[in-house]
Amino acid sequence: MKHITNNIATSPFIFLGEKTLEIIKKLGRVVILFAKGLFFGFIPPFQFSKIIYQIYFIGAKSLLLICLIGSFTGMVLGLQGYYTLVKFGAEGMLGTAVALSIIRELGPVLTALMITGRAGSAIAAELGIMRNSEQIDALKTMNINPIRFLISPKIIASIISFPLLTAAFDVVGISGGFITGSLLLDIDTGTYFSSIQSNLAISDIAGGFIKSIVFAFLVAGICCYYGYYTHKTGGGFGAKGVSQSTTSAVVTSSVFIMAVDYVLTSFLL
Amino acid sequence: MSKEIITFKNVVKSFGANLVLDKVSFSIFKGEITAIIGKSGIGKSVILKHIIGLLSPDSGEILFEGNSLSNISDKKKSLFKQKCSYMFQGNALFDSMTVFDNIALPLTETTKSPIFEIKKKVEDIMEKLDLKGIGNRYPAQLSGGMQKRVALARALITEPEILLFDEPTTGLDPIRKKEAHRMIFDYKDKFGFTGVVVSHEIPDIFEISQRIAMIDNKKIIFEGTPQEIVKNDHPVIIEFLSK
Repeated sequence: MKHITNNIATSPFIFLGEKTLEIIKKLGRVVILFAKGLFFGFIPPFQFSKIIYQIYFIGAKSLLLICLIGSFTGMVLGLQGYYTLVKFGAEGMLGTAVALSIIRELGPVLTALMITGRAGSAIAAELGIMRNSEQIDALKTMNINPIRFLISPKIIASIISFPLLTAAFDVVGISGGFITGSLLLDIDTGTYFSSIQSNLAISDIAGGFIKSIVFAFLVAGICCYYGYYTHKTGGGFGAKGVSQSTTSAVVTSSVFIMAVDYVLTSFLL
Repeated sequence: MSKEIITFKNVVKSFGANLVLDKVSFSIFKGEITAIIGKSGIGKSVILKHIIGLLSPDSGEILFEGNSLSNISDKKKSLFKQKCSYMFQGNALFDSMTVFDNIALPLTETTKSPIFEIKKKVEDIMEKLDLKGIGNRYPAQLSGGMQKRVALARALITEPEILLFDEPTTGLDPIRKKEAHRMIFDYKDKFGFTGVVVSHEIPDIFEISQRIAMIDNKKIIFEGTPQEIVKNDHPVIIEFLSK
């Protein structure tokens, strides 16, 4: 009887411990895969054409989406900011409010979330299908390092694309705020831009870019991991396994983006 | 007598609780074609995957020219892999690459050969395998038989010393099957490679093989020449050959 009571008392802790260890192991595998991918990417011969293709796929093909999201985010911020600031007679600070919100926070975070949804899911699905159809094994039999061949270009392209897309989001977002603040409402154009110029520090811009680079590490590492190890992530085999790994890649990346954003913000403030 | 090139010594392999190979021991001889036969799902492909290094034995060892593959350095393993080619049962073609790029890949990624030389080699092998004119197509646009020949072309392009074929004729019509067997045999003569073929094509496979290894119930139950296996009175072999 005592034995049974002990089991009931300890089983939640055993379950919690096992889950924690599992998560730590998974994180370790993500970090190792990412580190290998980054390392192999700098070993000659360099894979310029593959990296450029991935920049096109992850970066250029996401540009329109980023611009759309950026413009609407800026426009909404312009409207909301105006109606808040006007109550305090501080509508002249709208430019600063929009620019700081976008450059420090919304630009890197929303860009990373959008790329995760568009390119991260595609990366996980592509690698998952390659794993299931033995294409990754085929690379190994040809003495081609699959991490170098498949993952390195995606990681390097992500590190290049994320900050550039974040910059595009920032510019379009600030312009969106200008459209609602100055063109639709009553704020003077000069006031809007001069408040940005006088209140925006280089550290704000640097902080945004640091975030975007860290998010590139996270998204590329997590999405490549779920795709590359589709057969080990417990989602089953075939199409179901690929769908499971793609979903896990997007959900995990999104959660980590938000969690790491909080940690980074607390350090960068 | 040919020299042993690959030797399995008491190789044991399980997947979870499922024991697939139980102290499997047999040899593959240099310059010969060895056919591995047996019922479906019995572990024939697992043997091939051990040779190429996609799987590692739980215990026992695999020797290449007398040296254990599990104890050699990564550099030597890489050199060994360069000598091998593997043709997958499901072809494992890169579905987002054209036929030409699929066949050229082992050369573009692992050699420093100039592009024009690679192009010439690929075109030559495509002509030999009756694949001319489909270089720009994608694997999904080809029939099963054509995909098989593309996979064969990719396996042969590096002129390997050891060629591992996992059911190379599945999905081919009888004429193409004969052609594929003939081609394996001819290439073996031309390049002098060592071939290991997992096959169900009995008795056709006996015509091109110098040696047969039969696996049943997790163990190699026969190792010898095609002439010897047809005379063997083991009940499992008799039943298998008669069907």
